[in-house]
Amino acid sequence: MFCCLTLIGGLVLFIIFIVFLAKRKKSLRIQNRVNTLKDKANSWDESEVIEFNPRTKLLEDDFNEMTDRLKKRIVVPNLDEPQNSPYGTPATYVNMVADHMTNSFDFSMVNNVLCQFKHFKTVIGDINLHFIHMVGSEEKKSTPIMLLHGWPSTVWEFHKSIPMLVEEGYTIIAPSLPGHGFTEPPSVTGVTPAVMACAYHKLMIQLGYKRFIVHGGDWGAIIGSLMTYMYPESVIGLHNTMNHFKLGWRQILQTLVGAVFPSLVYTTEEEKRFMHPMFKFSERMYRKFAYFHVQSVLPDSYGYGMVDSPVGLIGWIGSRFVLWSTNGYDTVLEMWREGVQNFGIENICSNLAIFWTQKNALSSMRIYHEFYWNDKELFSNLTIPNVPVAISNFPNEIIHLTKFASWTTFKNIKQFNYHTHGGHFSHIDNTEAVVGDLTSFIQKLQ
Amino acid sequence: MFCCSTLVGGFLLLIISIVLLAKRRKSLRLKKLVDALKDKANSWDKSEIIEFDPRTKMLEVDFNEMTDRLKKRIIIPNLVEPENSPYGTPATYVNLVADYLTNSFNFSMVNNVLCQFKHFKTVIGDINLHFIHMVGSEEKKSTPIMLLHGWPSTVWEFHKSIPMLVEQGYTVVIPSLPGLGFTEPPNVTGVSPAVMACAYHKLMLQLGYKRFVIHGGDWGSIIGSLMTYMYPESIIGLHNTMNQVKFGWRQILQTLVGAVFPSLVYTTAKEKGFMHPVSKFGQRLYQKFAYFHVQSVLPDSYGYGMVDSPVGLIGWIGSCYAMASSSKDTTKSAMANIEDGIKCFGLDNICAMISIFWSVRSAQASMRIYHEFYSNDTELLSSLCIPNVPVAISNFPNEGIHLTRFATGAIFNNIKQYNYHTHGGHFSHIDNTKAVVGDLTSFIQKIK
Repeated sequence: MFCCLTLIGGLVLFIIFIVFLAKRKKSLRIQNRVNTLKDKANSWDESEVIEFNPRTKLLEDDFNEMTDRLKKRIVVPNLDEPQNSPYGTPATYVNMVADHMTNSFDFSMVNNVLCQFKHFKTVIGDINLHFIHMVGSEEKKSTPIMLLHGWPSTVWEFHKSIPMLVEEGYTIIAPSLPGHGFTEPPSVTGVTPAVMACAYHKLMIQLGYKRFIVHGGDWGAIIGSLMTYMYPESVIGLHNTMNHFKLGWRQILQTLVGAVFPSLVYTTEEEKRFMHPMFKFSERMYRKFAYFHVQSVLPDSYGYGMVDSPVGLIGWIGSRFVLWSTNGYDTVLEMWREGVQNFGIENICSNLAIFWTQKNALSSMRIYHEFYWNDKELFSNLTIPNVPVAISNFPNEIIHLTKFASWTTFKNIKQFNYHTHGGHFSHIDNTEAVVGDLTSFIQKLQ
Repeated sequence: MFCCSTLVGGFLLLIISIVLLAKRRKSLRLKKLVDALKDKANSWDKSEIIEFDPRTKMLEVDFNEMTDRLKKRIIIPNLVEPENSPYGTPATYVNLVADYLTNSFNFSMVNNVLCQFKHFKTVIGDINLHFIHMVGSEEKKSTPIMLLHGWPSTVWEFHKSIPMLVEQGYTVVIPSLPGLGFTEPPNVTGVSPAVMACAYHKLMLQLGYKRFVIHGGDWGSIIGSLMTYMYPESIIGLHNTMNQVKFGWRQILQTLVGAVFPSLVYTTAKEKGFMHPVSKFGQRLYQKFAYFHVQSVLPDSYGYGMVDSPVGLIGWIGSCYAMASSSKDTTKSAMANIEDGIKCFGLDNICAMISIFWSVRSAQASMRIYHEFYSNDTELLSSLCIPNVPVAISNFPNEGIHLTRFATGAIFNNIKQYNYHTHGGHFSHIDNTKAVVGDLTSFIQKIK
């Protein structure tokens, strides 16, 4: 009996020791990676910042090429069940957007709107980075704001927010994510989200902003978190519209308690539905992240049709604006109609026009590949212990976590707001709320 | 102490009875499922069989539409390292095939080859099924053969094998998989691989073949196995070129032993490489099944560009022929592997397949089979066991799944033939026709 106990005790100690060793090794590995990233960033030469005119890239000719191809499009009708689209983007949606683009959409509007802002380009590392830079009032110069979009988006996402923030006197820097908009895809591999975070940080330093606010959604939120993790001394505050999912004791505890007393744990229906029913959790994840899986392995293979065919572009890239602006039950045609209403057909076409003319739908998906093969470990171990954080929760966003679960990653949550409408692209479908959250967060920190 | 043991014992008994109950319930559930499928199949009315001429669907004007679009294609060049693009199909490959289609490929050849065979169409359930039917000699009439292709293939896959089998006197029946080739995509949901298996079975009965041999690869192997499971009385023998993985005690035992004594367990390096290193097994699966995952959830969303743009079609569907035929040598560049695949599959065959997909506009709908499988058939396939019907497996080195005969015993209990070959891939009817046809005919000789 005593022998047994000693053996078991010894085994348990041994396991604890091994786990401890493994954690230490991982911690060192991550530290190494961060140091390497920062060293590399330090080695990048400072490049000239040159003015950029979007009109030189958003050409009428290219837009007309798109509408010509749309007029001759080959689209196979879907199934005979008109209310249901179980296999993905319905042909009705594709044809609707194609018709609007061909008959009603005013392409020059995109240039007119974008040219309200000041655009620049500079080379940082392997990235030929485009960004908008609006210098604000003296009063607000101590809190410049970086606005970071994700996939599949462009700086168009912020076209309503930038004027609102500029009017309040804020200084705004909004880069185009590499491979999107006016930042060409890098011509080498290895430009991962962590590398982009270093490049964005370097941009701010080059522009003379030693400390700044970071605001992001989708990859912008992830890159913002990475930047805050690596350069906490530079980030006054981090405001994310998309939360991150990190499995830890809090999630487990919360899920167990929430299974019995949901109202004790979850503030909204969306938070509850994200986790429950538990036995369907992996099925929900399987459906939600199918695109993530394929884009992290074979982004180019599926992408050729999105650069050569506007219908291919609408069918995939064009579907995200709509689906991520509803609660995402994409098998129901009614959802598609609602999503178009929320995002707006003009905004759908503007984003698509930028993707088409810049020919970067294919390369835009590579960020998933770079993330998966290089940044997973770093990102999944990320915690932000001190820098103040704000999260905005919109009902049609794709990830919903409680404040309690969010503490796994962010230890200093200064603001955690819920809103009654808006989705993954809140700058489009609930601009006032997201800009309001941002400015009230900045007020809290000053 | 005694209390403790009683508690533990009682607890163990509880777990065992729960597991047994769950197994019994699953077993009943599967039986119900199969009964429902067979009842539905029985309710399908018999339809007229009409002759079909591929030339009515393979039109010169559609092919010219493709080459016109190819001449005006928009492709951005890949990275500075075009040979080693890790992101999937290299642009060099897409341009290579595009140029060949535009400048050298003879489209009329496809029709000429296909028209050597007799084509028919008939409606079975919700499927407007196309099939080739070549009637053989009296002597071989007792062993008619069904040849089943998978994704992204067409009956073109068998264009060299059919003459070889016909010459030997065999009767062959070759359907086009629903959504591919000349079988239009069904216009209702629910036509899953198990339903297709029932439809294929019904076809054979309608043609007067009460018992027959099944041969298949890719979805053809899976549908063949499903058909054999549901209608064992109809199947003389099942010959698969793609094996199926079933996780069970055999796999676990073999992997443990194989980690220490690989030569005891694995016959080929490929078999070993499929399982080891075990630490990277998850990563290998993640890479291999990315396409399966997305096509089982969102097949239409990614597919619009493959119907409207030949470049989209070549970039994905067209890449599969080369990639699935290559040796996937990780020491070589991506383009070097693709060139290896092109040599094995042949540029004319690649272009013939692409022409068919383009002309019938089925690239997008072809991917739906993954969605239907995932939504309906996963439990059935993962529980499938073939206890009695004789089975043969052909192992080609560049195939995607490599299992030992021992592991294969988890599904197929009566393996009569298990051959290995030195070359050939996922499409052995294209790149090692003699070996696969040889395996099929020698298997039939064994089981007559």
